[in-house]
Amino acid sequence: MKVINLHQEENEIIKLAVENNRHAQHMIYTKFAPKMLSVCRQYSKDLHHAEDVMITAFMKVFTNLKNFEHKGSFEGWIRRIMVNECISYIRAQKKVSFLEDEQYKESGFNGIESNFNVDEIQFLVDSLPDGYKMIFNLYAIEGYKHQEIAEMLGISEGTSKSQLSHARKMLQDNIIKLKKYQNGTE
Amino acid sequence: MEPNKIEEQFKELLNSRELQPSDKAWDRLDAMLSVAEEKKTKRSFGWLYIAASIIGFIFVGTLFFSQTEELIDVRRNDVVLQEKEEKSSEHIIQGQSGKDILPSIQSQGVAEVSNDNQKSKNQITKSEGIVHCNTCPSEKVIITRELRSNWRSNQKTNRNLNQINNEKIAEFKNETSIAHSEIPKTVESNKSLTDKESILKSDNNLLVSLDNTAKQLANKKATIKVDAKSLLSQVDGEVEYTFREKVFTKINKNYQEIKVALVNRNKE
Repeated sequence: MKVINLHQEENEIIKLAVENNRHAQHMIYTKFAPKMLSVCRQYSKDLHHAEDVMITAFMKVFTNLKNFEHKGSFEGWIRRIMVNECISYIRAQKKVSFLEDEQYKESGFNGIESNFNVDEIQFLVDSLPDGYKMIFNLYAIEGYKHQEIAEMLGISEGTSKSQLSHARKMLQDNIIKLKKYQNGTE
Repeated sequence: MEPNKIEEQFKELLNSRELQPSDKAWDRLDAMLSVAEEKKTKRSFGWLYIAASIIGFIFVGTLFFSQTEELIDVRRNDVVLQEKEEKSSEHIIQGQSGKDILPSIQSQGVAEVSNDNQKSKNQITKSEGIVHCNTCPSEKVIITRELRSNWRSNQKTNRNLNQINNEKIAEFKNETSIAHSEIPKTVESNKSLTDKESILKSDNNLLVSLDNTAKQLANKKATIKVDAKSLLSQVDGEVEYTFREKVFTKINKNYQEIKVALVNRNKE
């Protein structure tokens, strides 16, 4: 019953937000902004830039709220808007370029186990170039498939796979380096 | 290429992470939202103005076209009235000129005139020359009756015309009285003619015929007839004369100028 009540409450808040009720909009913002800022932070090293992207994405959320069909989760809908805004922001900055390299080796994190905290994981992700980081985030964190990633970024599926392979290899090297550093300091 | 344990760990930790945005972030978003709302309201008002102006134009247009149609109808009526007036005035003018005697109201009396009277009248007109006493042909009488019926139907609009017509009738009556005064003269002239032929006819017969003609003439309405052809010929003649005069004067002037020029040239 609680879930149903929460869902009904969310729908009512969304309806009010569609009617430009600022209080309802603020409620949505306060509920989802911390998670969405975390999403935006995955794609940008700078927290201020991430916040700018989040604000712009929230504007799009509120202006397109009447198009929300209440079929999926509201959080997932907002999250997709955030991810798309992050991608368009990085592309607008011309920070990313994908090499059409379809020759790749399937690489994983062979025998590597870690007990990193969130900041360390974010540090490892930030160490990746923008192209690798983008595809790694979309595939490993957001759960998109290569076909979807290829459509989103306007690249081939093979390029997406090769970019992910390179990202994993680089990330593995960085994990090893980090572990060595941590072991050395300890 | 499936996600392994490290990636799942990354996913869990990053998705569960929450980063609190700065306090200014909501203020900025609030400002952006209010700006967007203002734009929307302005747009809506703009559309309202455009819609109101379009409706206004349509309203004014319909009013304008409806007024023009009414005006056209009125003009048409005016034209019809003018035509009627022209027709009536033409008849009056014809009555005045004497070519066609169409005394509209007096046509009943004129219609009684017989063909025998016409013959006697023609005789009299021949003797007098300019002054004619014509009769009314039966066709014209019918036309005048039609006119009367039309006037009755348009009594309101033709009040002025009736007044004018009454005036014309008064004039016409005066003319006829003048004609009546001249009738005895014509009778005398006829008498002189009959005296010349008295060898063949008896006095009594002549007296009876004269009495009859006098009675007939008394019943008639006479008018002064103007011969249109003679008038036209006179006018044409005058025009030709003036043209000739102009030509001659021009020739004279030119001749004089040339003459003076030649004299001057010879002097030089």
